[in-house]
Amino acid sequence: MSWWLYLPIAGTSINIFLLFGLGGLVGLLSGLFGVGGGFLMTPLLIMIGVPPTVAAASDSNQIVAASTSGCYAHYKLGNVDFKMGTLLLIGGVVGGTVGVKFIQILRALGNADFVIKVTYVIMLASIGGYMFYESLQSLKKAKAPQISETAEIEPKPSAFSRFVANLPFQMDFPKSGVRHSLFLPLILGTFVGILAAIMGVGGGFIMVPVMVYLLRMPMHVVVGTSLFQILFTCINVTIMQSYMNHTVDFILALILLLGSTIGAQVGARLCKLLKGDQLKLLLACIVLLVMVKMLVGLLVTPHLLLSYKGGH
Amino acid sequence: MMRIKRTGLITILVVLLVGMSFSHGAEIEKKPVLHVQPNKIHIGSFFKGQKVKIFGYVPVSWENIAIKICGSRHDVALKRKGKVGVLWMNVGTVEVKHAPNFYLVATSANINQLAPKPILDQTEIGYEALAKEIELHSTVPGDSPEFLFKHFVALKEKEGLYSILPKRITFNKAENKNLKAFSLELIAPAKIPPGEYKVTLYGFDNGQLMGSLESFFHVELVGFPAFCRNLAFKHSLIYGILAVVLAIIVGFLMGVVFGSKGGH
Repeated sequence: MSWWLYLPIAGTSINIFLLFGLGGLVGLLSGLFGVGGGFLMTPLLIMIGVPPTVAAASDSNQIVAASTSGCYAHYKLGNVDFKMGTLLLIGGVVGGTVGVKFIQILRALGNADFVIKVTYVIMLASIGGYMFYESLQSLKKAKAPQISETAEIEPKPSAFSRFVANLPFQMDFPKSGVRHSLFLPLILGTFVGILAAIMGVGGGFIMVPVMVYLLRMPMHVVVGTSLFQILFTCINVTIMQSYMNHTVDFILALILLLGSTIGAQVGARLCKLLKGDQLKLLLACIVLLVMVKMLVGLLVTPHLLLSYKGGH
Repeated sequence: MMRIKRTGLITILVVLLVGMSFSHGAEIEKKPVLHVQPNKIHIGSFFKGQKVKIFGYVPVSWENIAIKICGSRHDVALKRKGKVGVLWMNVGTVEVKHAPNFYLVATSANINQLAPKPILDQTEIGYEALAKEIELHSTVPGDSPEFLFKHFVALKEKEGLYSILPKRITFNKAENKNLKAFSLELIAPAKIPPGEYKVTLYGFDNGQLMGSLESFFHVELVGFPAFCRNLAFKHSLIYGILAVVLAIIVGFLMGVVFGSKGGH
């Protein structure tokens, strides 16, 4: 029996173990950090010979399984804030629609690709850099004086905090232990939705820092809630891509999701073993690595000057 | 007298028939023969490319031969990368018209030794000849057709769908004094698209085209890949919903399996 599998929509054959391994790696990140992994998996699939459009769409399909598995695991651990997740999701859908329109206008102007790539690098560099610096500082502070592990350092009331506190319709989010206006998660969800649509990703790696730093949610709840939101985003993307572009390769997604669901479970357990700041530091390193890879792609002369239309 | 006349007629007829059969046999012995094995390639779940053997006989007078395999022709839309300041990014699009989805040429000598350019163009042997059959249009000002074709071929070669294999065909021991055997082994790549492929054998002598012969092989999806592709293209909404439902079931089942092992 051959260990190579023919992917009917991708139109090529790939080693089963390689696909399973890639799925496992991305699932691990999903369970560990609450990110969908699309920003990492899609380039990896393209590297092993999957056409870009099929890679992006099939990746969404496998993230549905990984986030179902991860979300279920986090739900059992009490880490999903459904109230916050639903509000962010509504904002995300609105933002996604606005972002898609924005991209259509940019494409008509001919600048879309430039804006997408530069947005990607700036977002990854700023999020990754800030998370890296902040989590490193927190880890240093935690080591110096004896502060209780669960104690949160009270941030100084900034202009943003004062603005947020004055917004109407304040409500409690008991699972996250925070009080915010109804509009804050809606506005932030919209913002992430716009960015995610521009960059063509699920937005997990932007949503996680937004929840941590702007919504002040505890890291473990952030991961579960992010997975809840990603699940619905990817369901929508998978159905739309299948219907409009015929680019979802279910066989590819199936092997990836078998690997990723196992990886997600391992990730969810590792997540509980690691401290919030350690998780943030690890995610920051991965985000910065992807940023460096993208920057190299922008600066180094490509091997091929032509590529098939429709990919990232 | 009548008997002598009849015997004479029979003798003449026999001589004529024997003469005709000899000349016909000699004609057959000089005709080229082309075989493609297998002539049907099935793409199943575990397909990773397949070895294809092309063999047959050509007249000894054919000094060199070339085999061309061509798939169906399509229009292709591509993105063109370019440098803006210090950054490389997509700067335009390229439309490629009438490009074969598969193109392979194997020869017994270097291509330029086979025949002069006009004959190579006529037979579409080699990239230079192929370039004349394909139209390329770029939205980037200043892109020459030669530049675009070079990069288009590089893209196709990377996928294993375009290739030129000079001196790859070998001649074997002569079958008889009029014919010599040849053979070529190649791999139909995993990315070969389903469809019909035309295999053409060309014979050359002293730069002249001596003759040609055609054969075909088919590539088709079978089993689960065929079912999947059919569902994805003909019932795309059902396919999308099924893909999501199955993903949720698998994800949930894995969650339950792992959850039962855990302490929570």
